[in-house]
Amino acid sequence: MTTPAAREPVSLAAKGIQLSFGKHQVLRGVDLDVPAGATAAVIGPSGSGKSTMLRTLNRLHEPDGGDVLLGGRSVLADDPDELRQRIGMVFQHFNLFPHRSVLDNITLAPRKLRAMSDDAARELALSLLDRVGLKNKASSRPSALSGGQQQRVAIARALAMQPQVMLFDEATSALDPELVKGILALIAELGADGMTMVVVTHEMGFARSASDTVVFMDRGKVVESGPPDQIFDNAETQRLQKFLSQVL
Amino acid sequence: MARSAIRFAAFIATCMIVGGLAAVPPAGAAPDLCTPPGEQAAVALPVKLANAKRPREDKYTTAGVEPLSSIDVTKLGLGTPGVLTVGTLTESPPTNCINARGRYSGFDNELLRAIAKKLGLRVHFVGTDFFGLLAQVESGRFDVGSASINATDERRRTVGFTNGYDFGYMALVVPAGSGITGFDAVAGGQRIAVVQGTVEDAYAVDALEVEPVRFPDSVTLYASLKSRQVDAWVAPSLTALNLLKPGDPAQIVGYTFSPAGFEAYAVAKKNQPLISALNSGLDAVIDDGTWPQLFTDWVPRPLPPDWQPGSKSAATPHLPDFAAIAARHHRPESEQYTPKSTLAQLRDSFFDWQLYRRALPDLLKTGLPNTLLLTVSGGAIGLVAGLGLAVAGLSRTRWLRWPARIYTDIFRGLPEVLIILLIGLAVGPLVGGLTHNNPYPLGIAALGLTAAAYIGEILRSGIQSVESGQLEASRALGFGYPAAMRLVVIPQGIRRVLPALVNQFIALLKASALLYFLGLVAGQRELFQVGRDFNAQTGSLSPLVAAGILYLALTIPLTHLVNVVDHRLRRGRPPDADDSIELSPAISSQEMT
Repeated sequence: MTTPAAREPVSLAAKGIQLSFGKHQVLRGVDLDVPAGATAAVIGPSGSGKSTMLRTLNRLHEPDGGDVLLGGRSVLADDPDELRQRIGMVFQHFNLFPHRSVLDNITLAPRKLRAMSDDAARELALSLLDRVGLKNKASSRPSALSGGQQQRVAIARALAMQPQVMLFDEATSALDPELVKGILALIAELGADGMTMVVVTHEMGFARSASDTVVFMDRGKVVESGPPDQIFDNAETQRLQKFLSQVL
Repeated sequence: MARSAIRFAAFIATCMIVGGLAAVPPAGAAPDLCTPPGEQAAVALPVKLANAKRPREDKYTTAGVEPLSSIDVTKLGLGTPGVLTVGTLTESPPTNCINARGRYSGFDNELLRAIAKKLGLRVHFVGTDFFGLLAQVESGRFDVGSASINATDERRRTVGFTNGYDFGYMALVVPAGSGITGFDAVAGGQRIAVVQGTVEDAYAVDALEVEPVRFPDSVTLYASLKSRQVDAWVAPSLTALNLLKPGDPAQIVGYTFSPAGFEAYAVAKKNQPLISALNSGLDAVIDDGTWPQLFTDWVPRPLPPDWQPGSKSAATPHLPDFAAIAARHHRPESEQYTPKSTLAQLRDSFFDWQLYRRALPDLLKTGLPNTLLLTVSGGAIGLVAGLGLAVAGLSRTRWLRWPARIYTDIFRGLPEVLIILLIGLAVGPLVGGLTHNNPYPLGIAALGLTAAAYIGEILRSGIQSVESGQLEASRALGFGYPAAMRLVVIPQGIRRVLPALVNQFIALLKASALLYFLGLVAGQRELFQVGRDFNAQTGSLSPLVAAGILYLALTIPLTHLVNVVDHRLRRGRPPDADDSIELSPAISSQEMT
């Protein structure tokens, strides 16, 4: 066995997270509860704090108050670098490393952070590229790929660290419309395989069909959350109703 | 090892130029100003001297000297035991110069060699500029300064002197057809030129009461005079006689005594044993006939009345009757030479192919390898230190950011030549033990530290131009800040500023010419200094033009390399399709709000 065993998915929870940038309070007590293996879709208007909330889960932003629990245990006292190795993240603009090949993008972290041998890392990367449908692009530069292909590489890069949790930050917002579907299918497939995921998205179709829980955020708070049917068909609050009427 | 490798690479790189110039016909008898002219070149004591102010009472010349046998050469306080380290000038023939074979020569230096031989010492010459010479003697960088230095009262406050070995007088040189007919015609409003810090400089200020135009050396000054950028030159008469060639558009219109007195070797004031020893050696070479012989070979002209070299008890030297010899050889200039046309003058000054050919071997063997070595080592220091500055400048800790800022402000804000002088002359004595008083490593340090300030800013702007998403993505994978910077952000930042870095390298290459201010031994001279020494030897600017061609041979390919790199970086960027993708989220978020 040359690659480490995939980790067991764990539950992820946030309790009353608060965060301010200067005087501006961005998160005003956000609660989130994602059981092991479940997918939570986070929706809401721009500026509602969705992306910021996502970055407090892996502590790219340190929350001012509240707690983040992984498998029921608080992670705020852990080494943040080590914590992030257990949580994969995919960005709106892919953020691939343009000066390295597709293969190097994927193998960099396993080689440097897991001391994985070059051969083992290469084998792992090729199997991940196969999984995202890009096995023949291993030696390409990111700039030679389409947006959809770049995002697939970014997903493979995150998976290479064998994370327990995956975070998606508007992963399809920067894509041409015809490429969106393929990426969403790939994300849904990951969820179906049992990965614990938090997906910030503008794609209401995806939120309805591929998530276990939908979380509606507005002005730094979770306004409403529940199963997709309840959120989309029986919205309780006026704010959610108004939001849905604008985007659907 | 590395040095010889560089030399070899340099040699290969310039083969094409050699090939180009090799087609030129062989060199004829190009003038070498740094050879003894011999007694037939004798001049009479200028008539106008009769009216000049006589030297004042001599209160410094010693009555006698210690016998040579009583001198203990181990107690002379020499920087290197058994070796006399001498700071001298390379461009003041016939007294101080480098000859065609690369030997430090001229009357002063050959005489000093003879004196050292009497004392059983070896001599190690180092070329430098006059304005820093006395300070470097007093600070111990040099044991002796040899530069026809007038032992003036003012200079005696800084440094000590031996007994005199020559007695200088000054000449007034003017362009042909000038209205200035003598020292009494000098007036305010004229551009009277002198070499900075010389006794002529003081004379212009104190006796002539003009504010002179100051030049670093006489060769440059004379070139300016010939092109009429100055109205007159108060010159050491020997230097003037030596530089003025038949047909030059310049003439000497007057002579006067140097009021300061005799010329002597400078020695640190506290080193009285060395002064005594040199005085003994001087008397010895006067007594055994060496002094008269060298004097006749190099600087044949009568001594002023009532003065003789060495201590008061030295033998009176027997010299030929220079006035009579001069009278025999005298031919009015106007009969023998027709003035050269301006075009011929220009051609001889700038495009003398024979001189190109003569300068080329030294330029290639000595100048080019040194220039490359200085540039590459300075560049390496600059790159490493610059990267440190860039990272410190981007740090979130002010204790790293502020020192980096201050360093950059200082080193970018000072003229490069000032930094080189400060590090070479001020830091030099502090680390003398480490560098063995060799200014070469200090020069490299000065070049590197200056380059670091610029390179640091270039790298910082490059690193800052990398999108924040790159750092964020690296951190999200689990890399710490240092690893994320090292593996992801800095490599991208450096790529973006490669063209600017190459430009900086070109600037560094050119700045290496400034190292000549520090005084380099013959084997350390870079392109500019080699060209300059030939320029001083011959009085023609052609060797400098040849050096310039070599600089271009180095810099032009680099400039084009910049263009290629720049073009590749631009073309290598993602296709336009990506730009339109970048726009869409901004549009959609506007719609959402």
